Amino acid sequence: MRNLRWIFLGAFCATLGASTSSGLATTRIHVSIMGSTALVPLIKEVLPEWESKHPLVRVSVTGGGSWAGLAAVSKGQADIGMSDIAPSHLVATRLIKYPLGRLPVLFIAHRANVPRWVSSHSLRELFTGRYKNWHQAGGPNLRVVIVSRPLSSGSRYVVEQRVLLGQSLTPHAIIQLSNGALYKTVLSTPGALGYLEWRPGLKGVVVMAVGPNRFANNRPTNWPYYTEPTLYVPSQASALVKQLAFWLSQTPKREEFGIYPVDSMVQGHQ
Amino acid sequence: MNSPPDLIVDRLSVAYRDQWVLQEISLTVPSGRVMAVIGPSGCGKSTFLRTVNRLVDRMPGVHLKGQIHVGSVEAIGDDVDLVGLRRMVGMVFQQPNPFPFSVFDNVAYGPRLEGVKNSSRLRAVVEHSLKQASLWDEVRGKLRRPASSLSGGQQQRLCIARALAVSPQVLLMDEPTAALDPSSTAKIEELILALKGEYTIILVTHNLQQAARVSDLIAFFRDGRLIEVGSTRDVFTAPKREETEEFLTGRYE
Amino acid sequence: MNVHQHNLRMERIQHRIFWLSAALLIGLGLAIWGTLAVGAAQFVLHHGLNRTLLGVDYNPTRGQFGLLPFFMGSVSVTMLALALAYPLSLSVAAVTVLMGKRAWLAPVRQGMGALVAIPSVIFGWWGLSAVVPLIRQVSGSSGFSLLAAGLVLALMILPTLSLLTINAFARVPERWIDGSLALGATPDQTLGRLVLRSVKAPLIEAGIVAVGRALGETMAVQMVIGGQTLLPHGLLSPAATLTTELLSDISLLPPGVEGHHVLDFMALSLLLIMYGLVLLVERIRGRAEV
Repeated sequence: MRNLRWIFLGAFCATLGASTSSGLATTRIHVSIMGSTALVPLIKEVLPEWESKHPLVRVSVTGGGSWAGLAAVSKGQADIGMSDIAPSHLVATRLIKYPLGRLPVLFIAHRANVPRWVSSHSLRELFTGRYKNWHQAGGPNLRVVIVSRPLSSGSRYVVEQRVLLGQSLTPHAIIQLSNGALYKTVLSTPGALGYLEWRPGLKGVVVMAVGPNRFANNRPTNWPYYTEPTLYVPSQASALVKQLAFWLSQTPKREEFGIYPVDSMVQGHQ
Repeated sequence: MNSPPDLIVDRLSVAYRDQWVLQEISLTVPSGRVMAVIGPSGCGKSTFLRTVNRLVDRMPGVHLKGQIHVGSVEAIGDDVDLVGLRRMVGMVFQQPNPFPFSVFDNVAYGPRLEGVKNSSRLRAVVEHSLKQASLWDEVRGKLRRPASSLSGGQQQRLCIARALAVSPQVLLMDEPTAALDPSSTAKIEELILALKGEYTIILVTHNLQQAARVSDLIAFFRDGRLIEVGSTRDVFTAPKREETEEFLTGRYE
Repeated sequence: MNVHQHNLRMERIQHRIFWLSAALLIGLGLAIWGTLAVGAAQFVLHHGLNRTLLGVDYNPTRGQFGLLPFFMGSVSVTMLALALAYPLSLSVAAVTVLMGKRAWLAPVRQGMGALVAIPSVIFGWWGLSAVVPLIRQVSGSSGFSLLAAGLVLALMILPTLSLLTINAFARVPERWIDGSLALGATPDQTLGRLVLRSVKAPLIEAGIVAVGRALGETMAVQMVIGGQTLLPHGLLSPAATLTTELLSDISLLPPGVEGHHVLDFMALSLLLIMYGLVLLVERIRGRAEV
C-alpha cells in the first residue's frame, strides 16, 4: 500500500516537473503560429530548417482555420496568423502582411460528368443550386451533387466572392471538412462538383475549364481563381517573429504545395 | 388419477468428447417408487439424472448410447421432443434456483410457457402446486413478494412447487437438501414421502440416512458404472457386492 | 525527529497534493460549465428560444441561428444507430453466453475490444468508401444521409454495446437457465421470459451508455452525413448533428467573434443531455442494487 502511494506521488511530481523544467532548460523564446489548415503541412515541412539555425526558439504550429488564425493574431493569442482570407480593414491596419503567393482553386467533377467545360454563368448556376441537373449545363441527364468545404474555409470564401459574386452556395451542398474527404467524395460520387485548392499530382477527377480559362499544370498563373495564403504579424511584433514570417513566406518549397509566387512582380513595384 | 410411468434404463452410456462418464447402465424404477442413487463424488450420479431429461445436451461434445423409456416415451434419440420430455420429467436442483421474480411468477412460469393466460386458472394451479409442496401456508398472502425473500428451505420447496406446476409424472431430484439445514431437510424428506406414489422419483443423495428413510430402491454407482441395484432394505442390510459394502461402511472414502 | 513524526509529515504533504489535484479537476470542470453557461445565457438573452431551439434556418454569418435541424439530426442518427446495433448485440450476447457457445466468448470479446480501439476517422473513411456508395446505388440519392450516419454509428457503438450486453447476460447464473429448460422452456422462451427479464436494468444501462457514445461521436458522422443545415425530411436526406455542426463552425466562429455564443449554447445542450444520461444510469443502478 505504502509503496503504491509513493509511486503515485512520484508520477505526479514527475509530470508537474517535466512540463516546467524541460522548457526552461533549453529554450527561451516561444513562437506560435495558427490558422489556415491548408498552410500547416507546408509550414511544418520547412520549419525544422529555420529552427536548426535558431536553437533557442521553439515554434508551434496549429490549424483551426483562417478565421481563427486572424482572430488569434489580432487578439495576441498567436504570434503569426495564417489566412487565405483578407482581414477586414479594421483588423488589417494593425497587421503586417507576408503573402506567400497564389494558390489556385480548381473546380473538380466526377469523371462520369461529360462536360469538361462550363461557362462562368453555368458554374454560378450550378454552385448556387439553381441548376439541379447536368443537362442544364450542357451535360448528360444526371443530378448535380455539389460538394463544398464549410463556411470557415478560405477557398469557399473565394468561390462565393469570385464565382458566385457574393451569393451563397446552395444549402443542399454536401459538406466535407477536409480537402482529402472532399476529393474522395467527388471521386466516388457520380454527378459531383466541388472545388479544391490545387496540389500538383491531382488525379482521378475532371478539372473543369471555366469560360475562356483552362487550368494547365505548367502555367498556373493564367488561372483566375485562387486564394492568397498570407502570414499576418502584429506591427508591434519582435524583429525575430517578423523575420520568421518573411522567411516562411519566401520558402522555395511553396511550389510543391501548389502555391506559385507573385512576389517578384510585387517586389518590383515596391 | 393415472399411475405414473415405469422408468426403464437400457444399456445407457454417456461420453463427453472421448471420455466415457457412464457405461452400460441398466435399471428400472417401477411406477410411483423412489429410487435413491448413491455413490462417491464424480461417479456419474448427476450426469445420469441430467440424461433422463436430456439437460445433459447443454454440455459441449456429449454423446449418448442406449435408451431410456419413460413409460411409452423414449428419451434418447435425435428426434425426441425435448419440450414434451421435460414437461413429463421435472427436476429439482442441488442449489435452490428460484428465478428473480415473485413467488407467484416462479410457480406460474411453467404453465405460462404452455400458454395458460387465464388468471383464475393460473391462480388455481399456483395454489395447488404450493399446497402439494407444503409451502402454501407459509406464503399465502405473500405471493407478490420476491422469491429471494424466502428462506433457503422455502426456496427449495418453491422450486419443487414450480416443477409440479407443469404436472410432470417423473421427478428428478439432484441432492435437493445438500444446501439446507436439518429442519428444512426434514421437511423436504416428508414431502418426498408424500409425493411417493403419485410420481416416479429418482433422488440423488450423499446422505445415506436420507436414502434409507425415503427410498424404496437403491442404485449404487462407482466410476461411471452401476455396481448394484436393489431394494433399499436388501442393499443396506445385505449388499451383494464388496464395493457396496465398502462404501456403506465408510471404508471407501 | 523520529520516524513516526516523519511519516506523519509526509502523509500530510501527500494529502495536500491529492487534495490540490482533486480541487484542480473540479475547478476545471466548473470553469468549463461556467464558460459555456455564460455564453449560452448571452445567446438565449439575445436571440430568445423561439427562433433558435425551434428555428429551422441556420446561417450564422447572417445572424440566423435555427438549431432544430441539428437537434433532429442528433436524435434521429442516435436512435437509428441504436435500433440497428441493439438487436445485433443482443443476438451476439445470446449466442455466446446462452446457446452453449461459451468457447466463442473470448474471441468475440477480443474482436469487439479491437473494434473499440479503431479511431473514428477510420470508421468515417470506411463509411465514405463503402456505406455511402451502397446507399447511393440502392436508393439513387447522393448517399450522404442520416441513414449512412446511422449505419456507421451502429458499427461504432456495436463493440461497446455487445461487451455490455455480454456482461449483463453473463450475470445470469447457469442454474437459472437449467431451471427454465428443465421446465420445458425452449431456448427462445428462456431468453425472452427469463434472461431478458432478469437483466433488464443492466440492459437499459447498456443502451444509455451507447446513446451517450453515439450522441458524442463527431468525425465519422461528419464524413458521411452530408453536413446540411436544413431540416431533414427522411432517412435518405443529408443532415447535420449538434456535434458535426460544432466541429464545422468552431473555426468560423472562434471565441470573440460575433455569433460564437451559438456554439456555447450547442455545447451546453450536449453537456446537459449527457449529464441527464449519467443521472439516469445512476438511478437505474441504484434501483437494481436495492
